[in-house]
Amino acid sequence: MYVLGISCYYHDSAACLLKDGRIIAAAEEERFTRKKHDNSFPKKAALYCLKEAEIAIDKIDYIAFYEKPLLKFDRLLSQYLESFPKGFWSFYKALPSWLHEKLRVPSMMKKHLKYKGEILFVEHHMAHAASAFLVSPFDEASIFTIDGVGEWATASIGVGKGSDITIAKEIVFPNSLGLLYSTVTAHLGFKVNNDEYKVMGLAAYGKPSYYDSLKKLIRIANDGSFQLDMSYFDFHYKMTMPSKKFIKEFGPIRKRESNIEQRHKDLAKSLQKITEEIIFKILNDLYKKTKIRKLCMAGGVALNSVANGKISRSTSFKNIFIQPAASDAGTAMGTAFYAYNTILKNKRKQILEHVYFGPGYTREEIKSFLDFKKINYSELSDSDILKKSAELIYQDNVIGWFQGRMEWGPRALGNRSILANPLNPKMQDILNAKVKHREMFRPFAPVVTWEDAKDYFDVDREVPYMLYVYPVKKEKRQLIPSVTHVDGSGRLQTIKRKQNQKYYDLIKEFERLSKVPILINTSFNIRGEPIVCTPEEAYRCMMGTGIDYLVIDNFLIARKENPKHMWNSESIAKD
Amino acid sequence: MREVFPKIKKLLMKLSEFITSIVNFILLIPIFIIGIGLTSLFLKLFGKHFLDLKSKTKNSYWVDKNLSTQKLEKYYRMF
Repeated sequence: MYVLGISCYYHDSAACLLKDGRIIAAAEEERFTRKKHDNSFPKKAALYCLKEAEIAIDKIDYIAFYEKPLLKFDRLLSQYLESFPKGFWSFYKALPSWLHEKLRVPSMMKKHLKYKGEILFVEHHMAHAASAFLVSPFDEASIFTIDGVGEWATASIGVGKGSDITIAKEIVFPNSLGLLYSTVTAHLGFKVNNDEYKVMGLAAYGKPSYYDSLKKLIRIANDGSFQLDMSYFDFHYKMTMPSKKFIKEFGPIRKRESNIEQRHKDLAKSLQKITEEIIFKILNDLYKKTKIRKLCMAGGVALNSVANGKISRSTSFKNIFIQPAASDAGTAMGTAFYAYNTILKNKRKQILEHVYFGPGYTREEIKSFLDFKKINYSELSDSDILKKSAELIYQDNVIGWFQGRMEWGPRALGNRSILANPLNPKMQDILNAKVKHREMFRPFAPVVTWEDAKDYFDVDREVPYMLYVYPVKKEKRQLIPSVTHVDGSGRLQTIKRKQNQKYYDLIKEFERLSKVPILINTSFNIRGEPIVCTPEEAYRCMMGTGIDYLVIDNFLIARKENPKHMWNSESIAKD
Repeated sequence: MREVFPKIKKLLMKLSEFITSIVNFILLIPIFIIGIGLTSLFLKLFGKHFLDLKSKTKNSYWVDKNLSTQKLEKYYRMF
């Protein structure tokens, strides 16, 4: 049985294909259309999934959609009805797309995929819950989902047992921790639904001096549930988020690309403190209710890796599973599994052990591309490519590392990664100048072999998906300065050989040279672009930036040995 | 000609978007005023509120949901 999960029309559109309850393929639409956080119907992602399975659309038994569109439309109309006469411009912007596409999901399936079969609609937070629980290693778990907003819900708690999930309670719009976080993101001059992680990174530089002021915006009950004071927000009827009262309280909205002042850092820190307070209160109360120590989490706020890293210290939950694509992309996976396991009552068969579900390319395909483009390259043996790559990294070269199938989710985890030397204290500046062009306050992340992780980080679990921030051990901070954030933390990835053999072996080769089993791992893209998907995009990215070498499969390509491509990365680097 | 056609196509696309935005504006103003406005004013006269915007102290802001597996037919619905 084939089930195709689809999420779209808000942000991070995605598709995920299951065959008999196991993942065949999963990918975000942005990787194909090259529009970051693309929210359009994931036609290309869905067609890729079918191609990977080598089937036509008529072989699909069910398509599962990640929300109930009419419930969401009900919420939207309620916003306009409540806010009238305000809200016209938002109404004017939103309504055409609702009438044209969002309320016509079956027609869109027919139009884009020529699909005429069964479509199942699963509530948004149920799809989030399923995306974590049904692929987790747990038979029974407490479940917590939290994001901006689904249909009406903005957070939910429940329990998963076997193939069943019960959502016991929810917090409903307009009370939303995700939207509070987005409002502050907008106020700090960053892009909503895109840059929330930057606010999290900025928080490390601040003091929580706005904590009391922020508490005026949100009432928090003892069980962690909360209510926003909506006089500080405009998001329920406007395209902008902070209200005049918010600006009066926290100062003017920072202009994009202008200087970041201490007050911005302090506001980010205060927000992070409140976010953690709410999450930990909710989780402690959830444990009291369920008495189940295993926890599954999903939703955009579950990508807050700083908070995630403190869960086991601050709550009773010791076994935690977070969907790697915790934002809306993950609901494509969640809704597919919910349809297969829960609605259609099939046994669970999939435990997520890696995220390499995207497109991959054979040696022949890569070679024919390189030959066709007349690119200078050398092809090395398996062991030589590892030795050479490790040497180049150790000599402070920046390497584009393109292997196997693309990652599912927002993080590059060793198949579409840029790798560099973490021992060089200037590597953060080098990477920023050469490739990433990103804000200087943002740290780079380390990847470390699992068996060595505890020697370098105060880590208490495997973290293969870069979803947790842990302190770097004090005595090691000088040794790996480029991956140690200003507060002494690192958002690390741990890796076992069975998870990604070539990536693991490369780190071990680097250790042979440097005595340190750690590399800088950052996503293979430039600022404002989605992560590269194809060999051509990888090559263009290298030639347009300061990446020194590209390793695709066992092919080694040096930038300086090839004519400079026309693509100027500086001109397209944007948020 | 190969260079000219894409430019013409781009211009026509922009023109069509502009016309669409004007038509949408003209159509949506009466819908907003009559459909949304009158409904809103009428129901508010009877004390109806569509969103809970009032800040009130409560012991908990959780709303009971109790959503678990339903019959297959319910998942065919968009609501």
